[in-house]
Amino acid sequence: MLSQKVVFKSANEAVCTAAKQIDYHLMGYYPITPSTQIPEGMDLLKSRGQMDTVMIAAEGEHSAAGICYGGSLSGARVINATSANGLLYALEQLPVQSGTRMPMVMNVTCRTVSAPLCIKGDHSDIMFALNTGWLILFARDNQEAYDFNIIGLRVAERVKLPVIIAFDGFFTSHQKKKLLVFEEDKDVKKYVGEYKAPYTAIDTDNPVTIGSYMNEPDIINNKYQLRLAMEQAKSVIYEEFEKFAEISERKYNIVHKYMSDDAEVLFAVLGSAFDTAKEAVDKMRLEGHKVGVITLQALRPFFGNEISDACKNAKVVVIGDRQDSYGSGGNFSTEIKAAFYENMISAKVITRVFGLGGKEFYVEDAENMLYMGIEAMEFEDIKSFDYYGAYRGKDYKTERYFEPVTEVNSSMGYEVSEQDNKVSIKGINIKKATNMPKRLVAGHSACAGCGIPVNINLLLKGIEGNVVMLFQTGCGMVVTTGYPTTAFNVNYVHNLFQNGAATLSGILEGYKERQRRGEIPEGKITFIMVSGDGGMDIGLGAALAAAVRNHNMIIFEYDNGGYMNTGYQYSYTTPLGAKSATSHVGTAEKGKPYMPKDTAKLFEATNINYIATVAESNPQDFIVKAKKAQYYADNYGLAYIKAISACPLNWQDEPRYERVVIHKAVDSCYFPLYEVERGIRRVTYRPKEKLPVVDFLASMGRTRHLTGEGYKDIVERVQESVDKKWNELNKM
Amino acid sequence: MDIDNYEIRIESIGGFGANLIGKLLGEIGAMYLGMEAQSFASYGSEKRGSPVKGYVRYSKKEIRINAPVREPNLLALFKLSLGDKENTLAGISEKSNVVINTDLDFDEAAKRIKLPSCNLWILNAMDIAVECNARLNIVMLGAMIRASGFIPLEFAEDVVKNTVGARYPDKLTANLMALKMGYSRVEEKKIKTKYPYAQYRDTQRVQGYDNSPIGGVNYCFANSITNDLQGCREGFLPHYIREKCIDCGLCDSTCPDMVFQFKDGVNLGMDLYHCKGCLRCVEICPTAALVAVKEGEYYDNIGNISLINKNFEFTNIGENSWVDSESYNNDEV
Repeated sequence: MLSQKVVFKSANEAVCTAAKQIDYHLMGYYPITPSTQIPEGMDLLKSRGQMDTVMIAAEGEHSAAGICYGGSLSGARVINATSANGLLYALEQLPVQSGTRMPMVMNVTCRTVSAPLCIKGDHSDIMFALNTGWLILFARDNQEAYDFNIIGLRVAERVKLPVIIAFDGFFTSHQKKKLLVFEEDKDVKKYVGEYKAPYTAIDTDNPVTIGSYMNEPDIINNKYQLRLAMEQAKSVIYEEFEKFAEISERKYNIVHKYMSDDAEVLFAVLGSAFDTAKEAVDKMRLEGHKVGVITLQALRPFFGNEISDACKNAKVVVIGDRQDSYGSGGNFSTEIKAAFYENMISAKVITRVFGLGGKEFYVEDAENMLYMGIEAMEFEDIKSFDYYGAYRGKDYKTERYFEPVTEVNSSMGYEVSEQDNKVSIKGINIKKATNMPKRLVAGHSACAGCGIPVNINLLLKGIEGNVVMLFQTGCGMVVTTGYPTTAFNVNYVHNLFQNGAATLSGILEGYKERQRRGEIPEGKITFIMVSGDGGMDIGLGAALAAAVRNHNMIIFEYDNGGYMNTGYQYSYTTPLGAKSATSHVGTAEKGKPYMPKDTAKLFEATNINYIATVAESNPQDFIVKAKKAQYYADNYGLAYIKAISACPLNWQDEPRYERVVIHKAVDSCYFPLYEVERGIRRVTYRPKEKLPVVDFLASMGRTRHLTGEGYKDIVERVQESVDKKWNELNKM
Repeated sequence: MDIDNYEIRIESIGGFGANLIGKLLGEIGAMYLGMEAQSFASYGSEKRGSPVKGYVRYSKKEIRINAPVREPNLLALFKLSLGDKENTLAGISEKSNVVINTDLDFDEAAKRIKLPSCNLWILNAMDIAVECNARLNIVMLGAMIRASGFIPLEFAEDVVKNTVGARYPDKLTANLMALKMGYSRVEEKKIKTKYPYAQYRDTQRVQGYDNSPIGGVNYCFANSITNDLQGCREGFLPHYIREKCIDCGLCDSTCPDMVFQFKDGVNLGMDLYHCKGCLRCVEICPTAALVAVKEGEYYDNIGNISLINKNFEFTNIGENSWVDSESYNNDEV
């Protein structure tokens, strides 16, 4: 038994502790709620010099999985954490990891899969991983999340398969509770031991080919090996549970039971709902009902015999699924039912899909499930499958609050002319632009002083006529369209943020083709894709590809330099040295580790006809460029506009002074205002006095520390790159 | 005092640091009182201005519930006006202790939010915070542990030293003072009111599976206008002085909430239902036609003039908004 101590932590925090103690070589990750606290917490430990793990923030989960795969190919110990759509975006890489038999640990903080986009917890993500060849352990509380990170790694390395440690998003990941952790990091490191990979991609004395091209007849043998490893894992998991009990005095079983041995009605459920159900069992036992509850601690391999055995005395088993394999029922229940068949268990099975999208699960819900089972002992008419908690709804009237924004009421009489490959706009001024009807209306839930609606409105003040907007995931989308309300007065679409540009390409080409076939009337629509800088990280490929294809659309990026809707993890445009939840400032870390990328310049390489940078500090210039972009989108193809966008919450400044801060970004040429029209760069605003960049950095809490001693080199590097870009712009 | 189970609910708005108080209370239960403890927040928003809920449970037994606290032994309202919102006063009975940050007296405060009979504790936490040069949340923590009747002040002092003090040693003295003043200045009164007990209810909408458009599509364009966002304000709002206005339109170019109502180039006034009080407009107005005033001093609300249908009830926007991680924002105490 190793010495342990009591801590008060959430599961996400407990995972950080385990990761620190295991002392991983590398973490590849991409922030996604609710798993994000894991890399955040690890970065904090790293910044304080308490952990050495190399932390690589990828530009999306697909790459994060790739980084992890690469890390494990080098023989390094590797960890990842993700959720929901992040898991699905990485899904393609999962069978690569398992198919080449590379062990690693990935924590999946379970969350609802989009669409509709939902950030809360259910099991719709984890069930996608069932067929990937990964081991899957399911932790029902914080203690298990910690323990399984240690046990899981050992199992994975013994059977040479990667492992997922899954637990409930928010209910487990965010709720702080007491748990025991090992007191000494070195004890844990010693316990997990050193991993010696049988082969690596870096052993130059023993060259190997990893990732062969393989068809029949070999694949079936290769897969059989994987199956054997899964079978082996069944006994290895038991062995590791035993071994872990020796050091922790916590003995795990594959089937975790409560009052189940003599129960006539059993409730089987995964994750945090198990504990709630125990409470219901206690209450109902007092009333004389023979009820119990069980859960399974591993989904892969699936311990069908063990769960069957646990249910052999029950008359009815009610299975709660926090997910549905639509058309078939939840995967947890279908697998249990298959196991019952094999083991000739005769209990009646009732399946209820519950708690989707983080819907609360109260003790009375667990009681209702158990009472359903009691009724089913006597009555035949209890539905064997249904949803629990869905409701019909009541009559309601849909109201109209505004006239739609039409071609007529959004025509401002702006004058556009074109001469010598140059477009000129006349008739725009801020006063006149107040007449533009708002396509984005009030009532959205952005923070006070948020820059996003300001930028959207300034953009749309320049765009006359019909518009269709597509927002990629981000604050801009989340704060405007929380069901059942929407702040859009025009057609609006959301798609996940690696795919907005592609989706909008499809909408507009479909529109044009349907027009050509005479199915819809002639007319003009301006198609606008709106994205944050996060979307321009993960979705950069799709956006650049849309630009190369040169569709008639506008891509508008609001760049606040961070993933703000998930709590401000750094993005690829966060200023060098800035503090964020994944770039802490401490003895061993100095904030954001590398220079921001120049997204506008990347678009230049696609040879589109119009690129512009805009800022709310120069509203006239902003609206003019929006109109120009519309003209170019209508006539020549894709136009890209990038705005610097204030985020009072995470820039850590006063909402009231955001325009002043933006002014400093522009006047220091940190964010120079220019346009690139048919390949010709033109500065559109020249500050009277070019401010030192530190003036801008000092105006935000996230970069204020850079004014201190010890950060001079960072400020100099920023200044240098700003000057370089400014000189470059002025040379043209 | 012998406590087997104790449940706390905190009602606050993002930016007030209620999340941290929940954490500290949880830590006190787990590490100082030696009980089982749990603390978590509504997975709504840490966004500035949005309502948030914090939950804390203490128990001598294993804590098995991970759903919200519906019948709190102790309820704290970090802002009086939160009392109007859904479920904020739910589960309050005569046995409950309710701590409210307000400058009103007992009866006025209770009347303003229709508070059911309970043991009421009030203090002007905002003033105390200013006086101590600390944040409001620590003042509220002091008041809450006093109202609990069983959490010793020393435990709270210690936990503040270990968390706030470790990260912000220069702010520790001010915070300890704020904690003590919250503890000592909060006043108690058993109140009897006519307002009925309110049961905690999970949100249920009129839209269900029989009548929602499939695919999550929303036909009701621009219906966010029915949201009333005034609760997001942190004490200030702009006041518009028509005589000084030159209708330049700059306010309309900086307002994130489409407050300014222009018609044919003339500023007719403000739609204050949606003003979150960021004061961007006050900063930008070239003629001082917009000035910052304290909430309650002026209120010249003309609503949205483009509405074709004014026959609706406003909805206070609730907690069901975006989550963000706590770690970064909570670094700031």
